Amino acid sequence: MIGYILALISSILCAIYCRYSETLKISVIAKLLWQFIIAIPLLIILFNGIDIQSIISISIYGWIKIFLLGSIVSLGGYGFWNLCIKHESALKNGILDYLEAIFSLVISIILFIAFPNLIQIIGFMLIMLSIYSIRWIK
Amino acid sequence: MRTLVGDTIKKGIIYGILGALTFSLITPIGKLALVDLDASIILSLRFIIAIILLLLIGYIKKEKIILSRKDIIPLTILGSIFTLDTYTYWLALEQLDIVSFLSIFWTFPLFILLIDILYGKVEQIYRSLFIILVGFIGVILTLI
Repeated sequence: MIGYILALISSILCAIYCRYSETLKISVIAKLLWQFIIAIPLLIILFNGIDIQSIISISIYGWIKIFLLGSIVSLGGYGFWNLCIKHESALKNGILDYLEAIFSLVISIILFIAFPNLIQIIGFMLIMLSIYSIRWIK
Repeated sequence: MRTLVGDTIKKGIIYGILGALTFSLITPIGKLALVDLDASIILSLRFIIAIILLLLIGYIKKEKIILSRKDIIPLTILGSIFTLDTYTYWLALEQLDIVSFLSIFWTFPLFILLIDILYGKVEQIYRSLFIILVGFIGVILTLI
């Protein structure tokens, strides 16, 4: 149950982030840099510190995953996303993000060989349909 | 003028698709990383790598990264929202299966619409509420 509530809070915060980020007319790099600089100490506080010994013992495979998250996801995702906001509104960007959910689901299915059942697919299609419909009312 | 506007929208859509493609990797790679790594370590190191790469890009592009005083407070608020979002995102990812997590998290465009309704930016309120309702029925179906 806590997992569902956390995912919902994360979704709401993401929406607030999108809307607020759109109002700040600052360069993408400066914006990203500043938010990452703020995030590191805050996350250390939220997670009650970091185990330095664990960092030393990270395998090469672990470092590759961290590097992928740091480079492709953080820079690619947030960088392109913020560039998109410069050209489109946050809402339209949010609509484009339904693609993100589909890509994410497909990649996850391939990686984890975890196929959703029929009802889950119908539910997911309804979510995507509603997100896509937003374009027609704006 | 029309061409300029069209080009801007096209660019926006291309950046949006690229952002969607790259950002969509966060959930599967994140879930894989959580198998043998702690969320606090993943996130801290990930952001340190991102900061180094951003500084490099900023240096190459000769982009101004020093902020003016008036930008510091709004960016600190944005950074704090981002941090809380990231924190709850990873805690939820640790606890839920991928499909349930994705179906709840990706409702955020519906919350953006809800914010717009609350701020009076949407004219077709009933249609908007219907769309939000359909989206959340979808969420319930994926969680059954």
